Amino acid sequence: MNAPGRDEPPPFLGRWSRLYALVIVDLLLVIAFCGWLSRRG
Amino acid sequence: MSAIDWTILFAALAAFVVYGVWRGRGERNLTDFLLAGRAMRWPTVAISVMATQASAVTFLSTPGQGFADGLRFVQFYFGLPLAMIVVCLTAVPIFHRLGVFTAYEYLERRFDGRTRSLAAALFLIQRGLAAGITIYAPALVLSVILGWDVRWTCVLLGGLAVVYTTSGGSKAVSHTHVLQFLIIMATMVIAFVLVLASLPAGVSPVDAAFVAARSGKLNALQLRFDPNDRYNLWSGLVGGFFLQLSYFGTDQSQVGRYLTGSSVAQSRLGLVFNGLVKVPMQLAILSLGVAVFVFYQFAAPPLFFNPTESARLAAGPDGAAWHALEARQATVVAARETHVRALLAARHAHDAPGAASAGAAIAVDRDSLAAIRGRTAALIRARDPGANTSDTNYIFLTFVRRYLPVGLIGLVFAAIFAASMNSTSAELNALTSTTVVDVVRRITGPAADPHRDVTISRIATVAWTAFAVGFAEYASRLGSLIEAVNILGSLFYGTILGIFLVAFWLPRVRGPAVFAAALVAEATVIACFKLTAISFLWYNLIGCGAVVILALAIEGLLGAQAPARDATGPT
Repeated sequence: MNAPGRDEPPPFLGRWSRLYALVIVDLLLVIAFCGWLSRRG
Repeated sequence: MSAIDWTILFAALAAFVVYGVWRGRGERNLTDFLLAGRAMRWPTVAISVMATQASAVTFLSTPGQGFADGLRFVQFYFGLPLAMIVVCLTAVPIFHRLGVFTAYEYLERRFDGRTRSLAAALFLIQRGLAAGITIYAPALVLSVILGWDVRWTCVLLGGLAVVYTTSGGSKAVSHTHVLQFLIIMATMVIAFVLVLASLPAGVSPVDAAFVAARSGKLNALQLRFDPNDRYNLWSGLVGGFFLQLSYFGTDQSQVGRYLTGSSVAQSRLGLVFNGLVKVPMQLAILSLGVAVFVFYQFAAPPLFFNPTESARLAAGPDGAAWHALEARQATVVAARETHVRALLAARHAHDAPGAASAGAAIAVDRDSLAAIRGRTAALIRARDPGANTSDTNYIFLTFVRRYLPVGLIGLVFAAIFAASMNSTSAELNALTSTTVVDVVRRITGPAADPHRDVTISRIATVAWTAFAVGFAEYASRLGSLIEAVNILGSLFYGTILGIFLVAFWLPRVRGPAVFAAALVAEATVIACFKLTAISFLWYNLIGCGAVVILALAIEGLLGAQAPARDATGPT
């Protein structure tokens, strides 16, 4: 069994886990924005 | 279209093909031809991944869906960013480490040749048919709008893509993706700005958003769970997650794109970037359709957006009824414009009762227009019971031809052609990879002369193009074309994903168990499609879950006397 997480670090944010957290935060912000738009109707 | 628009369109098409041939030159072996020499940096990987998924249907159908149905379709993509993370953690490092050409190669190392063949066969069936729809969908709309024969439009779309895909393989595909996708995005941004600029004097973008909201078009989030409702938060997050995980983790169209990355990190960064921008991009394209909807609150839309069908009805025996409906619609549209202006005036004056009164009048107008559309559809069906009464796919291009300036019309059409070439070229490259690596080389073995494999790949690319164009001839009357593509994918993706998840995460399950589980799961998904009303987004979850559960159960029944083969999966 290998450890796929062990690879060169990303050029941004230092760790892959931080980059993945950024993706989740981005998604949450988009969903929140969609919720805000829906409430306008 | 004007001579300037035609010139821009054909110059752009020629430029795309020449650029692809030029950038794809110099391939020496199968790695060069199928995976661009595994030398791409992450920006190219990211754009190539996005361009592959965003077909011409995306740019035709999505604004139409925004116009007709508001923003709710965006929820379909909510699972994508999460899927990107899972693919980065599992598939990317495993495929890179093993140095495979296709995702299905991995299955033979993990299970056996039979399971690899099953997954490759499901992919070739599903993607081969989908490639036909990818060509047919824009060809149908473009042929109607431009007055071309649909068969020759299919041949043109397939022919443009096959030239550089055959000549330069994956490298040509990736580099053309970058050029074409940037042009497409720039064109869409310009179109969006011009739609807003086309609103009447005194109607600001904020007013437009207000009108859209009052018309129920900003319905971007539906929290209520309903398994039969295609687009809500939960179907998007869960069902969409499994669909996107299947697409990016197991579909060679995407696997082949991110395996062009020069390292695990480059491939991952490409996918992470896609996870960051895909949902906002889809929201923007849907918003373009909503903006067109608002524009038509102040301008008379055609009775039916398909111009060929409209002309046929107007000139036929039902012409009098058709013109009566047009006159009735014109009256209601004029009244609606008055009411929308009253709504905006009330908004500017902070007159809540006035806004409520105007809103109620607009709702009455909307019902009247819906009734007129219903009678229009009935008229079309009375003339031809098999006719497609949905005009969603024609809305955006009809608007472009009527209202955008000379020059930009040609550019928008070039962008639609480019989008078609993007997805088609990636599909052809993936079908070629799977055919050569998972079928031909398994029978004949790797060639001593690397040029022989490249030659076989070129022949396979041409053959798959011929198949896709041929199938496109039969891909008519499939309802909303973007949904047809997604439904077709959902019938097979869940099973393939289940096989891969078992491979990645359940090391004790062996080939015979997963093979039997996959057959039963696929039969279950097809039964759901034929016999139930369950939304297609859930097929991926059903197929995937069935494979995992059944594989575990069958493995338990078979007994685990012997250890599983090296589980080349993550720890």
